[in-house]
Formats: sequence, structure tokens, C-alpha cells
Amino acid sequence: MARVLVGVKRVIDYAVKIRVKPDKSGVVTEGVKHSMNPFDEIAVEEAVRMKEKKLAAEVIAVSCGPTQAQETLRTALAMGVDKAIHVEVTGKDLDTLQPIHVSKILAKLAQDEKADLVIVGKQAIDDDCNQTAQMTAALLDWPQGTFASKIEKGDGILTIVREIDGGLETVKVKTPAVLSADLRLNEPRYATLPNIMKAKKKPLKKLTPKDLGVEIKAHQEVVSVEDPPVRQAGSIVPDVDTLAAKLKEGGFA
Amino acid sequence: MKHINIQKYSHLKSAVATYSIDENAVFGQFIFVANGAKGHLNVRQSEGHVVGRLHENFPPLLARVRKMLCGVRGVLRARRVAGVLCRTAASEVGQPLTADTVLADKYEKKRTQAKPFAKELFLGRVDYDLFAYPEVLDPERLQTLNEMVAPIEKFFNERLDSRAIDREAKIPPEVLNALKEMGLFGQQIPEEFGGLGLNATEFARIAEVTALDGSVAVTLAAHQSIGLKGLLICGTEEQKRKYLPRLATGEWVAAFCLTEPSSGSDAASIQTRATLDKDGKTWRLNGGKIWISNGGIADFFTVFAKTEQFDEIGQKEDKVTAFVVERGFGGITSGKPEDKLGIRGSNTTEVHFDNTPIPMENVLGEVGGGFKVAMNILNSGRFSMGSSSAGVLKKLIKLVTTHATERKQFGKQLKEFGLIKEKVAKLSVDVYAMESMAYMTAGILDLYDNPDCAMEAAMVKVYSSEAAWTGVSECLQILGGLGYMKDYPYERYLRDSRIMMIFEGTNEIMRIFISLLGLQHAGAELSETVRKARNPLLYPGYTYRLLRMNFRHTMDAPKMNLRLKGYTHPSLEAATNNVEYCVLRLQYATMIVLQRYGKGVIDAQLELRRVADIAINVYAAFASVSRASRSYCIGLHNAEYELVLAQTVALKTLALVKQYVGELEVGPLNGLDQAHMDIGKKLHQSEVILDYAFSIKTESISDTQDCVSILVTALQDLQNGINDIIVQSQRPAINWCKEEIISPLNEVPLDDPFHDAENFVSDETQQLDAAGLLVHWDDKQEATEDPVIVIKNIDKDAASLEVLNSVFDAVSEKSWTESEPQEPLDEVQQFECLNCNETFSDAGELEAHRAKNHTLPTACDLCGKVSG
Repeated sequence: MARVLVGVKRVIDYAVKIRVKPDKSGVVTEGVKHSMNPFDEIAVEEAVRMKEKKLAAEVIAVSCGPTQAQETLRTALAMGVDKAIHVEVTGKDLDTLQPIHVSKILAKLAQDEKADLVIVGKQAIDDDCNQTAQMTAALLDWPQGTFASKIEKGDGILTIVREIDGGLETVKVKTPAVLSADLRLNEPRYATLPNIMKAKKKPLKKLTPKDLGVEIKAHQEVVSVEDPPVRQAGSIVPDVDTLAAKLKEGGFA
Repeated sequence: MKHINIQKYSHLKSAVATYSIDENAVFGQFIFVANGAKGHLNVRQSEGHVVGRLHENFPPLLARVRKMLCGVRGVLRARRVAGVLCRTAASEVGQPLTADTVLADKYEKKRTQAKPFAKELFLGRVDYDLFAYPEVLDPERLQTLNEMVAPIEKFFNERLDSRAIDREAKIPPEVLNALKEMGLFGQQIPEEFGGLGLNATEFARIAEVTALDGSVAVTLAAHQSIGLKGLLICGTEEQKRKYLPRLATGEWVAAFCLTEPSSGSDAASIQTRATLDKDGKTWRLNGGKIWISNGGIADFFTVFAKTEQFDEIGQKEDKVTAFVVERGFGGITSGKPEDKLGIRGSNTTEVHFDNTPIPMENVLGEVGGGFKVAMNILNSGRFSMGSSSAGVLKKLIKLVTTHATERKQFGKQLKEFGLIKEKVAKLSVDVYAMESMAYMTAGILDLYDNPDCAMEAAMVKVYSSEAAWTGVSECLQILGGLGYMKDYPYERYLRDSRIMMIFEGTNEIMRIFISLLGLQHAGAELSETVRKARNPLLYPGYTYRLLRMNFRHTMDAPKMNLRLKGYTHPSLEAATNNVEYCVLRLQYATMIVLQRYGKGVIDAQLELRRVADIAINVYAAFASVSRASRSYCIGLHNAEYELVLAQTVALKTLALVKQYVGELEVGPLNGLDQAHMDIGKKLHQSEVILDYAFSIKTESISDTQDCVSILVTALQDLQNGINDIIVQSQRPAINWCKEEIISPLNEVPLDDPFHDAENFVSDETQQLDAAGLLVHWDDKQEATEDPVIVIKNIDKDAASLEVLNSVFDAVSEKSWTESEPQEPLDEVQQFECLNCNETFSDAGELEAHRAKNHTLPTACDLCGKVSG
């Protein structure tokens, strides 16, 4: 049976109204509600379901980030993950942390933990990078199944239905493999209170990037973070002809 | 919070300190371990003086430190000790704590409560311990709690369609199942029985979230706040083992069956009866309960019934006994769900017991001890209402502030208008007070062993249910017309929140409960004071102090001798002083009513209400100030905002206390109370108030008197079941009757109810007509000496009788007050003894009666001898 490694990221909660810092260096995170990246929740759910169907032996959740990332890991544990690994990244390193670093960490951990399957969310809702799964696969030199909306497990082979532009694509990959979860893969469960209590007793290992031999080095620089432009007021046109004329004028038709 | 290790300091082995530092003040809350004992110390060093106090008992060495610090101001040694502590704290910022276990111990061990908090307020005393706002959860438990709250919140926001629940008047079974799976049905059930084992604080926090849907909140509360609470409080080990695991998972839902058609607030008057079978092993339960939350879905009932007991002298008497009843026992039927104003999705039904057999071992507590069980359950279930109301209001505040930002009128955002600002501000202040009270109460429940906390819980209930009702209403008001629409949640929350002022003890009962409990507590101690006060010559010094104290109180300048301000952060000094003033005034109010009414105070409900309101608000202010002080000292995110909120709660309390103490000083002679009582009395005599200004021209007294006697006789006949009444009387009165009442009707065709408005002269006739009573003047009799009034076609239903009654009442009232104001007939009943309800026909008799039976002992001014 497979061992599954799931990557979870702590992000600003989807319901929070994002505010940009006055110095445009980023967004305000202090005192703001955080939760698990929704796509990662789907990834966790999928892994836990595999375990419930006896397709997986153990599910391990990994999160890279500040101390509070442990809260996200606890949520994963409460959802049914067996153990958690917290790779602590703080201070300046946190600001420079990029998908490439996370991929390196995940790749190393996948080898250390002898994982057969790595599942992550297709992207995080904060930076929308959509890179981690792909790069992890490349680093491990494993096959990848991204944007999965359905995963079926055969003997040493995974059948994955992917949502692509204009339709669905079905691919088969050999394990070990890296998968990324899309929105319609499943509907994640709510952690129940008894399970949250039980999760407290599950192991949570703390590591640093250094322990894994990963150096957090900046490859890029954030120049400026800005609010999206405020929508300009529209105008009502009297009839279709005027509308067509206006669209032509604007170069849309 | 920063933890530091100050082993350097000789007699302290280790210590944890939380502190904040600004330019000229160091303020700290230290947690010590020294010589094996633990405790905490609040220290403030500011502008050259030090105030500190150690909490908990310490071994001799630290007792000395305690002595040095207790209430000492400007004393050199104390300053030095505190200074060292504070400097050490400041210099060792960030050092890791060596004794994590110390913290764990602090949180787990329950202390014994020295004195009940709220009751002591009535004596003008404050438990200084609570100025360190209760911190019940250790960091780990707090984190777990936050983890628990998150998925519940998510579930409530994403999966719950509250509008549909309200519309369909039913919580969908899949939602109920999901709630059960989440573990919400076993929150306070110990872990060993499959529950979560949450303490009061955690339970209150989760209630904030579950309250987002009123129906769900009430279903959950009926299950565990009252339904199974009895089992937790006084169930036997066997009962617990048998039932709790099934209740914790929600496999069985619990209900609490107390209320009956004839027994609401007066719980001791229930009629349901349990009788012991001949075999002596089984009880048979018979009777009907109404308005039982979860009545239709529950499998487990805590039922209260009368049982026959023999008292010490062998006489039979009825006492209440609590039973644990399974639906499977048989003979239990539930009515259809009630159609309610709010919390429509919660299942409220009648529950009937028909010869339900209950095995002996299912008696809850002792046989005959059921009333106490019921009160214990209710008293311990109320505290969470504060946090749940706060949860709802916080959600609505978020919604209305968004609306106030987006909505523009007169070219301005709503939030820029003063009246909107005021509303939102008042809401926030109320929420802060509610939360502070609720969590302080929960803290007391968690920190102490068997705390005396019923009064605090009642205070939380009254304050928060009323603040929620007005708060939700104000939120709706900010939305204006939109708020009134069912598309928005406001009207639903308004309807849902209304129940909180009614169930689990109406707010009226709660107020009387609070003040009587407080007065009783104070009275026990004050009897000594009263004894001394009545013997001034024996206790001259005491009398002098008492007189001086009373004098200062009458001048509205009580001596501020509690020295509270040393216990909170300096920036809250003004607010703390306000709290101190209010506590002292509560003591004064207590003395006023006790002195004025003695034991008769039980009937002075209007005064009791004022005392209760003072106490409730003092508690609110105290809790808010204590909480804000903690937040500021440990540097919470919004601490400065909290200071403002707490100061406002204190100011609000100050204004209210001033008003109520003023009214209490005037006493029952204050015009408004008297007027209310008079009007109230009249209203109960006749439900209909006549707006007709009764402009009768009575030529002579006898005219109206005669008229009244006719009408009264008529009424009596009517009540005796005579349909067509013939009343005979002397001419003058008949003339009046004819003119004022009968004649106008004569002009109206009897068979035409829609008569000409012009002919319709008097309101009485209108009343009579409306009620279907047709009055007919028998003309034939007029020639004789004794003419007759015939009232025909009288429909004997209650409504008609009442209308007729009211007309007659009005007539009699008018005539008597006009004719002989010095001896009003109606006033006969007013000479009623407040103590024993005996009535007397004149004031002299009453006075004699009271002097004989109810005079409080008074002491002779000269010799101090107490006489009747």
C-alpha cells in the first residue's frame, strides 16, 4: 500500500478582504484570519479517502511556513492525516520562499519518507503560482498528473481525469507520481471536534530547510504589490446600434 | 504574553511574568513558584508609588512579601521588591520559561472560592482576585479551541440555510446528523463518556458560533444546557455510564420537561405526578408538559413530577422529584411542533406521560429533591447565553458596518452620520460588556470548586438577552426598509432573539431572583449592623461611622474606601473609580430597601427591579474593566480600543446607577411608580378603557348613585344567568340612565347593526352594541312609579360580559369619585395588608392590624431595648 505525502499551505482565508500594505511591499497578514489553502484541503481529503479505502497505508502532511503553519497541519491531522511535518521557515526566509524551494523540500521529504504519491493543491489562493506540483515532479523525475478531477488507483498505475481547456483528458501514470488537485476532485469534510481532540496526540515533526539541505535563496524580487484598479463607472446606451458603434470605437468588434 | 525566569531573586524559585512597559509605568502580572507554592502578583509602579497584591495563599516566606505589598502605597520596601521584579521582567525579555509545568498546574487545579462574587457586591465588597480577569485556558487548550471553532464556523457559513430552516420550521435531518458527527451534542460530557469534556469557557466560545442559527442553537442548548445537565450534575455513576455515551454522539437527543400549562415561572406548582407502584420498585408517571424543546425528537427526558412524601412529623406532603425517562419506557406521546415566532426550526412540542413506568434507579438526585435539581440545572445553563448573543451581534455588526460603508444618502456614506455612529458604538459597547460578563462567569465556573455562580449567570442572562433584542433591532434599523425584508437575516434574528428574554426563567423572574438573593445575602450580615445601629448608645463609635457613611451617601459622595484603582492598569483609573462608586452605591441601595421594607421587600417588585438592574450593570462594568486591563497589560492587538469600550461600559453604568439610586432614595412615593401601580390596577379591573370623557351632568348625588345601583343589580342578574333583565328603581336615576345610555339606543333600529352614525351618541352604547348586547328601554313602564330597564338578547359569552362589566365599572367609578371623593367605594380593596393580603375597609383598621402583626422590632432610643 502506498504512502502519501500531502503538501498544505497556510494562506489568508478566502473570505477575508485583502488589504495591501501602505508601502506596497505585500498584503497585510497581521491579525488576519488564515486557513488551509482550499485546493490543499481537497488534496488532503483525497489522500484521506485513499486511506479509508485501504489504498494508502499512511498519509503525511507537510507545511512550510511560520510557527502558525502548525495550526494548518493540525487541521490536516484532524481531517484524518496520520502524521505531520512542519518545515519551519521564518523571518526573511519566509518572504523569499518560492515554489521552487517548497518543491525541493517536498522532493527531499518524499524520498526521506519513502512516499509513493505526492498530492498538492493545483495552486495556492494567495500567490496563484501553480508551479509546485510540476517542479516537484521534475525534481524527483516522477510522472505528474496535474489538475486532477478524478483519481482511480490500479495496480501500480493511476488513472487520472484532468480538466483541461475545452474538455477532459484522461491520463495514466505509473507510481510513484506527483498529483495536483483541482476544484471538482472531491468535497472536503469538516474536521469534527472529537477528531480535533484526537489530532493533538498525533505526531508532528519539526524540521528546518537546513535539515533537508535546502537553501532559501531569492530568485526574484517583488517590486510592488497594488490593489486591482477600481472599476470605472459604466454608461447605459440607448440601443444596440449605439452599443455596436461604441464597441467598434473601442476596438472590440 | 512573555514568560521570564527570575531565579536570581532569592526567595522566588521561578516566576512567569507578563508585563507591558511604557515611559513612566511598569505594570506586571507575575506568576510565581516559590517554596512549592504558586500564585500570582499584580504589580504597578507608577509615578513613584507601587501598588501590588499577591493572590492565593503562600507559605510564610512569601506571606511576608504579601504583607509588604498588600495595599501599601509609597512604602519603600514594597517599591523595592516590586521594582526588582519589574526591572527583572524588563531586562529578561524573551527568555524561555523553564517551568512550563507551572502553567499547566495553574490552569488545571481548581481553587476554592472564598466568597461568592456577585452576592458580595451587595455588601459593597469586591473580590480583588477577579481583577485578574480569569485565564482558564492554557496556550495549548486555547489553540485546540480555536481549531475547533474554525470548522464549526465554516460549516455554519457554508452548509446551513438558516432562512430555509426558518421557513420550513424544521432543521433538515442531514444537518442534524452533520452536527452530531461534528461532536456538538457532547460538548460538556466528560471524555470518558465519549464527549469532548469542554469546560464552561470553551462551551461558551463554541456557543458564540452555534448561535449563528437560532434554531440550531436552541436545539443544542435544550439537549445539553438543560436536557442532560441534570445527569451531569447529580446523576449516579451508573446513570451516567448508561446514558451519557449515547447522548454524547447525539444518537439520543435530550429534553428538559418542567413547564406545564398551569405552571410556568412558578415551577413548584407542577401537576404531573409520579406514584410508586405497589411493588415499590416502579414509579408511574402521569401528566402533560408543554413547550418542551426537542420534545418531538428526544429519546431522553429529564422530567419533574410531584411525588407524595412524608415529612419529619409524618404528614403527607407533595414534593417535586426529578426522573430520567427514556422514550422507550412507553406511554410517552409528543404533540405536533408548535408554530412559533422565532427559533422556528427548533422542535417544540407538548409531551404527555400516560402511566409511564420508571424504574427506581432512574430517580435523578434524591426523591423529593427535584426542585433543587431543576434550579441547579437552570442556573448552570444560563451563562452561555451571553456569549451566544454576543456571537450573533458580532456577526450583525459586521454586516451593518459594511452596509453603512456602501450605502449613500444625501451624498454621504451612512457611517458618517452621527446617529448611525451612535448605534454602532452602542452595539459594540454592549457586545464587549456581554462577552466580558459571560467569560468572567464561565471563568468563575472553571476556576473554582463548586462556585456560587447562579447570580452571575442570571445577570448574564438578563443583560445579554435584552442587549441582544435591542441590538438586533438597531441593526435592522440601520438597514431601514431592507432590514424589514425577509431577504435579509435581520428580521429572523430579531424574532429568534426574542425568546431569550422569556425562556430559562423570564427576565422579570431573574431580576427578582437576583435582587432577593443579594438582599438575603446582605441581610444575613446586615442584621448585625442593624442591631448595632438600633443600639447607638452601646456602640457610639460604630454609630458615628455609620451616620457619617450614610450622610456621605445621601450627599452622593460615598467614601471610596475599596481602593480598586491599584488593581487595574493606570489608564483605566477613571473607569475603575466609577466601578468602585457603583459598587458602593449598590451597597447603599441594598441598605435603603432593607431598611424601608424589611421582610416585606419581597412585594416591592419595582424597587427590587432597580436593585437588580444596578447589580447587573455593576457586574457588567466590573467584568469589562477587568478584561480591558488584562488586554492592555499583555498587549493584545486591539487593547487600546478595548480600553475605550470598557470605559464606556463604566460610564453607562454610572449614569444608570445614579438614576436608580436617586429613584430608590425617593422610594415608592415617586410619582411614576404610584401612577403605574394605579393604572395597572385599573387595567386589570376592566380591560377596556373608555375614552369617552363621561360628561354626565349629575344633578344630584342620588341620581348617579341610583343609576349605579340599577346597573350593578343588572350586572349581578346577568352574571346569575338571567337573560332578560328587568331592573326597577326610582325615577331620578332612571332619568339619567334613559338620557345617557338607553335613549340613544332606542333611536337605533334594533335589528340594524349598521345604524346611522348621527344617532349614535354615547360610546357606551357603541360598546354594548359592538358586543352584541342590545339594550332596550321599556317605555310602557314609564308611567308607573318604578320604571324598568330591560336588557335583552344578552349573549352570555365572556367577551360580552366583560364589555358590559367595563361599562358598569366606568359608571360606578365615575359616580363615586365624583360624588364622594373622600370615601371612594372602589378604594375598599386598597386597604390591603402587604404582608398577609388581608383586606380592611378603612385605613385605621389596617394600621391597627399591621401594628399588631407586622411591625418590625424597633429599639427604644434611650435604653436600646427592642420592642414589638
